[in-house]
Amino acid sequence: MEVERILWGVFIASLMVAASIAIWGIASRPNLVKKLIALTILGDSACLFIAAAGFRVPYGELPQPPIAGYPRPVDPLPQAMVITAVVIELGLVLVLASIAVRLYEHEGSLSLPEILVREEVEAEEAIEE
Amino acid sequence: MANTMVPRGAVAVLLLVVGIALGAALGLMGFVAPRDELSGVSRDIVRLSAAQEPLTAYAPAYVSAILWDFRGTDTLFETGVVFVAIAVSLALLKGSTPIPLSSPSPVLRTVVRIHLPVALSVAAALALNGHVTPGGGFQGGVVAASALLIALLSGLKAFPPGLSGMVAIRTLGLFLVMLLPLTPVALGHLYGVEGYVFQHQAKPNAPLSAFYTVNGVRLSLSIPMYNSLELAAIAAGFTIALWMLLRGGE
Amino acid sequence: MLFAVPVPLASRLSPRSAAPLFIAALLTTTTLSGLLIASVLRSGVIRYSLGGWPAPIGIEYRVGIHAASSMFMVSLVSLLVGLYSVWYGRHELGSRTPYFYTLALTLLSGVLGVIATWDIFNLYVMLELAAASSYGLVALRSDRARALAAGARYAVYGVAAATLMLFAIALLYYEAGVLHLDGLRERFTSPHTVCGCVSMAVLLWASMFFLAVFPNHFWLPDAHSEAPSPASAMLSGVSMVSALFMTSKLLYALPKCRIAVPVLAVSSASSLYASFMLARSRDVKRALGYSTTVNTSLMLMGLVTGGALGVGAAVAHALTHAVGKALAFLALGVFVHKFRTRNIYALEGAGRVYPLAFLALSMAFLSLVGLPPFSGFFSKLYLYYALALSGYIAPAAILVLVSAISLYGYLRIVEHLWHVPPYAKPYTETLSSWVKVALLGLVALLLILSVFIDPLVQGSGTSPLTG
Repeated sequence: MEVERILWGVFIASLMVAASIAIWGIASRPNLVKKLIALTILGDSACLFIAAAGFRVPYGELPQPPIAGYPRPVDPLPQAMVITAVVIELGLVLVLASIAVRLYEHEGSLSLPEILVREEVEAEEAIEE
Repeated sequence: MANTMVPRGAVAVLLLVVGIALGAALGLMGFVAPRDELSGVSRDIVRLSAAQEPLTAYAPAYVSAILWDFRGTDTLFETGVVFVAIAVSLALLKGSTPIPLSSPSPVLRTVVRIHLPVALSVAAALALNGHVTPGGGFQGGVVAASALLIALLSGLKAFPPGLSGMVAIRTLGLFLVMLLPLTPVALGHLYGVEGYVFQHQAKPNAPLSAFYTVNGVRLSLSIPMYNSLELAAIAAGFTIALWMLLRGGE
Repeated sequence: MLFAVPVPLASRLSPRSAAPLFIAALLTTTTLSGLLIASVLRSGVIRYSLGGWPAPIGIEYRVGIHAASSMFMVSLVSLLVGLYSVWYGRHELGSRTPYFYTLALTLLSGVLGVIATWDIFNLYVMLELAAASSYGLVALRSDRARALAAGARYAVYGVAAATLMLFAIALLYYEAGVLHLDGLRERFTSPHTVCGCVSMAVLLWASMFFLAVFPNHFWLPDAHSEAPSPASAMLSGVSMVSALFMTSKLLYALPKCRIAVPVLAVSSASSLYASFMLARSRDVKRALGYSTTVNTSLMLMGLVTGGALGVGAAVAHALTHAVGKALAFLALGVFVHKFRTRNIYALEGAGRVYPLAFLALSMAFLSLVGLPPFSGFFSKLYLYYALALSGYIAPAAILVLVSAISLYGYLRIVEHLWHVPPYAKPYTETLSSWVKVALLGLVALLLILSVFIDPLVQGSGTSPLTG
């Protein structure tokens, strides 16, 4: 009983740590692709967390899938939420990837702060629209 | 205003500390320990999904039932998000330089020729059976999209629909998915009864229902319809998206 | 009752082809929202269970007078912006115009969905729909690296904020077992739990991102200045309405958290900071972006005072801001397009070229700063009342101070636009009819809205958001 509790704790703790690392990565890495990867990690750990919130397992038994015929299934609602969230995350990653491809073609670099600062210097003179 | 870059070390340490503390608190102290019983909502959903009684979804696979019946609106608009993403990729990537691909070997082409029909059948099976077994429109769509993309990249020559064809398929798929929830309302008006948007099966005051019977067991007909539309939309959509990323809209 | 749902659905799939379809979609949405208001006025708050599944099991959409009016105003503003964008698309966006139409419609759908939904996960989905459309709209001018970069930054942090919301939603579901806002509210009325507090903190942080309140505003000046003008109009005006509704629903779901004082402090600081940046800015569209932050901070201040007056004032201000900001962006867009620059000094004397647009812009500024007879005056007045009557004197004073600073900023822009340099010869040009209709329509709206602010705020009792 105690061992399982601790393992579960480790599981949740590792999800949180992954999320924190991802947030740090988003803020501190200037390269857009790295931000994107960190974002993906964040999103996936959030989804895992949601699914974990739906876990129903009396310690010592195996979890049961959410299909009719199993007497004690895990919670299907978080799983549906995860499917939705994952697909949404996929769409947003696609948006960012498209922007990244275009940006790289334009500038030859993917470092966001550089681009914004560089362009801002130009902007101080006369801004071209 | 330039991007603010605070000293990395401090932020890193801070975040890690917060993360570990939070995780430890939540996990080890049992705040997010798994519960024993399903919550009220889920218990009802589980009971109502597969039952054969008046208020039900006629779908043994609870997750698909939730996706399309109990929470159809979520799924519809999430497919909308994918639609937006594909629109953005089309808007941004038209005319970008394609990534050069080496010419595929005959081994690859032969394997793909075998693989493609198999993958497409698996995708169709996943989608059509989504209300009975785990699976559904998305899963099938993604499998189909990856199979199609592999086929395209390995140089299958004539691809019948072409890029604009795929766009048409995706748009049509999504459009139908949007119209389908409105049909109970329309039918309700026609027959003089009440019909809810996104209603699949009969409700106490709304008698419209869509099911088929197998060996005396009723199964939902509407969920497979949604799943197949979703299969088409997602398969077409992701093929477009990945193609745009790689080849920039040839 | 049937109208409640089709409204978010009605704008969606769009034209790879033409403007008529786009305008038709906007018209349909506006009409349906109008009918929705009539419904609400007739029978009170509308609750619609999607799929026929009763409340906690299924998703419920609930629309009260605030929501209905907001949905209508948002659709109407989008319609007028849409008219303008037909002209703009032809001249600026070229082949990318159909994508603009598509993204604008999906943005509208997401916004309407956020306003109407009563389910926290559906709120997330609709938010992401609106947000994804916004990222695309900002980056639409893909020939400009700055636009892409602004869009990328907005997108990265936006997705991060929304994902954090997901964490919070997971915690809330774990505690409460429901996703329905009423169910959450019931569960969390008892004193604080760890999950509740953590979720609230995270949700509040994310909301402040979408509302662009300092310190989470950093994406906004770049994003709203780089977006095509009609897109900026919608993003600054319409999306902020939905962000406000989202925040108020989150506050509704978790009622016991004592967040008023810290939020007031942060928003006050935010509005002060943004008004300074507004007054200093050399880029006219950036200035408008900062103005958005000022106004959303004020809205947030009104919202957290709690009580019907605060919520009503915040919603009213969101609506007047939407109209005023949209008008400002559209009018400015005319000048920026003509002179190919956003620099305030380079636009010297531009106002004389399009006197109608200049007049429209001035009126928009007057409304935004809160001068009668424009609707902005009434909404700001109510915000002031809400703050002062709840005993928050300092924030109320800051509201006044911020309005003064913003006034200076706006006047500066107006002065530069009107003052013709001695060597230049003034001339005038005529605007396209699309633009004229849009500008005039928005000005009319600005004035007509004044009449409705009072009943809107006084009628707060019937809205489900209060309490």
